[in-house]
Amino acid sequence: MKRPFELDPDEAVVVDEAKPAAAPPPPPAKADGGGRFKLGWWWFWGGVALVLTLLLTAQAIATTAFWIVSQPLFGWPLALLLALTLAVGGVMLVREWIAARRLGSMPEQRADAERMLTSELHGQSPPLIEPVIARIPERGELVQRFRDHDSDALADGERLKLFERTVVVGMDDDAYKAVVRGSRDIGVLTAISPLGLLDAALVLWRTLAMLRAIARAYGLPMGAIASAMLLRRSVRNMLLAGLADLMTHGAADAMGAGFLRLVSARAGQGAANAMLAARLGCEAMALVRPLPFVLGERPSLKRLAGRIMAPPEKAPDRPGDTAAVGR
Amino acid sequence: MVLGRDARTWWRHARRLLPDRLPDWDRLEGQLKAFGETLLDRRLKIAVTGLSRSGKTVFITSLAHHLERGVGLPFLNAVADRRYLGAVPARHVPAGITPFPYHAHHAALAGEVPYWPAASTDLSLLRLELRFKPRGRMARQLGDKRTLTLDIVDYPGEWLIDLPLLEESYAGWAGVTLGRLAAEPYRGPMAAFFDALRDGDADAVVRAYVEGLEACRRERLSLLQPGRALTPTAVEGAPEAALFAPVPADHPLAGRFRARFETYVERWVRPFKTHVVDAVDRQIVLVDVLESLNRGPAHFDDTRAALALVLEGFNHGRSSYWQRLLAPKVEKLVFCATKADHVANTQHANLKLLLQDMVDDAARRVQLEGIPTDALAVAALRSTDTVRTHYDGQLLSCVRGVPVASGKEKIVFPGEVPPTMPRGADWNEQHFDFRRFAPRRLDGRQRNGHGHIRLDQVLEAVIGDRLG
Repeated sequence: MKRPFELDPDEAVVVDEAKPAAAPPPPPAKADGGGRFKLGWWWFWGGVALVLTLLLTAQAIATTAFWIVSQPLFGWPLALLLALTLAVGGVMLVREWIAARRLGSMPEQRADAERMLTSELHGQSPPLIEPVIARIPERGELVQRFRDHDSDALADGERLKLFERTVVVGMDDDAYKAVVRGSRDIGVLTAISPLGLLDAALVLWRTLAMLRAIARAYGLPMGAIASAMLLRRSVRNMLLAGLADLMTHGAADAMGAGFLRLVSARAGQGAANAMLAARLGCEAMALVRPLPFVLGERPSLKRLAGRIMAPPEKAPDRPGDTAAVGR
Repeated sequence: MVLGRDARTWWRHARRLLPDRLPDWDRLEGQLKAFGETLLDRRLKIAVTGLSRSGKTVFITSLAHHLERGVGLPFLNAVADRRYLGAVPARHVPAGITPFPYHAHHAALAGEVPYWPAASTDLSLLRLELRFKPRGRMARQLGDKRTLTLDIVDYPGEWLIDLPLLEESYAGWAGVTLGRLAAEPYRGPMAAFFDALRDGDADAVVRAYVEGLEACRRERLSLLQPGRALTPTAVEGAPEAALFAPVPADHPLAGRFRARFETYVERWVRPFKTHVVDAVDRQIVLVDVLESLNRGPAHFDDTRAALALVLEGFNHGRSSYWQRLLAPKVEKLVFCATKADHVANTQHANLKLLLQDMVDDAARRVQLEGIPTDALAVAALRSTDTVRTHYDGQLLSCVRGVPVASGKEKIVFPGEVPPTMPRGADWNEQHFDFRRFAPRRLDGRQRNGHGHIRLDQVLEAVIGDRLG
């Protein structure tokens, strides 16, 4: 045990107070809801696509080389176009890869946070919080609120809870709005579309747009691959875990939809589709949220149903109102 | 308003006829309002319990300061949800109770040169009207704003030690007390009392006993009965005439002191128990764990025993709506290790564990009644910062502040707080030197939570459910 001592501030060698104590990286933990996003078949189909892309690229280069030799005036512009296409394609591929990786790491990050929620140590929470803050430069007001209340007296668990109640709950509000907007779009579009095949296309289009908006609310960039991964995972979770919720909270709405179906088959289908999309959105929120739900309650159809069915002008837009409805 | 004015006039006329039977209008109005609030579950009485010098007065002042403004409390859910609007200290408190001198204490802490306010010497009440928006949609339909009247009771910590007297006879109490006073750590300060006991008259014995109790208090000992001997303004007349001392059963003064003991219990202790202690809905127990570490094992055991005794006096248990109306019980209890800012933040976890160890007996008894207890390391007014310093080849977490003793800013390493009660040599090798620091200014403009440590978590645990 170290004995007590006292120093004058001028004599003491004080280490940077703002910098948190060095902490070992948290050990890998089993993620919630079945662990990391597993790439599985994506690797296979990705590999096939890569081989095809490489073959096509090789063929394009050979063709361009041929044109450069035989018709330089045509060949060089073609080479420039090809280089531009490859560069843009490469950048897009890298961005897709980054987005997919970020999405893939979310369950693990959430599991680390869950483990840390009860921690009374200091210095391990900033590595979890700061990357999330870096991804949301547009939410400066929320981040400033967190910074204002953050104190060196807070242990890791307390700091994570503070981050949730000052920042993540604000993200939840945006995500809720995205779900309400997406569900409503899907409901209306499927109600008025004349063709069944068009329904499917509209639902897929608006669902992917909704998932991208939800991910954006949590500061996650979403490419096509990441969107597809999130859609697949959300659908699976919805079918496996969410069926009970759907049956419980959606019963009244389903009955309403049944009644509507009697009145108008299209309108009934629209209402049912909207509810399904909202359920999907709830699952997606739980999957891309950086922290587990502590203050913020897990999203459920029950909380959203009223807002989806409400006329658009009644849907609250002010943060306070949204927070009150959202929780 | 017209009806109110008419009723007031009518009541004034009625009082002229029956002046002794009817209370005045303001009192009646206050009682009716209080009854209405109790019926609607919009009134809550909190006891901030703690032994002498555990920091009750500063705790209540800081708590009221933050509640008044509704800032710097991010862990209070109503504030986080942006539903909390603020609080207003009520101008009037029930007749017969002194208002808590909130403004005077606040001025002491918020002045240009802040200083610690004086400890309480009498019973007082701080009534705050908390305004908030209800959480549920249905409740919002019924009213946009809601008020919760929060009564915070303050009293000298010494009075609580008297509660066990209600269950004791004079002979039993005197026997146990004399045994305790004859042993360490009481024997030294009480030596003069034992001398007076041999050949003194009643006044001399009581005077020596009270002086002994004061010497014990200076040593920060807690099991000091009767508690009002240490707050003489709370006893009518001369203390020597009203107080008593423990004497053996065959002592010539035993009969006189027995009578005084019984009068004291009925005159002071029972009303305090009935009107103050038994009327409490929630309880915050403040414990100065660091002072116990400074003082050594005897003080540590003394504080632990005193806390267990004090908590036995409270009526803990779950109560239904009707029970709350008729006979409230303490249904929430939070233990707080105060002055957590006097150690570095890395020690807070150990401070909490040590507090849990210290109040283990009391907490277990309360938990048997189905009441979950919580323990937190808190500082109602933060006076230091944590800094990390290289010293003697090691990187240590210290505190930077202005110790009261020196009056100059220092970086202090006060020792490491052990997670359990220290044993053996740990007490004797001067491992603990927890200082008192001068207060920092309680700043009304400060909107963040840096001015305190976990005050908002205490509030959420105690009143959070009633702000929904």
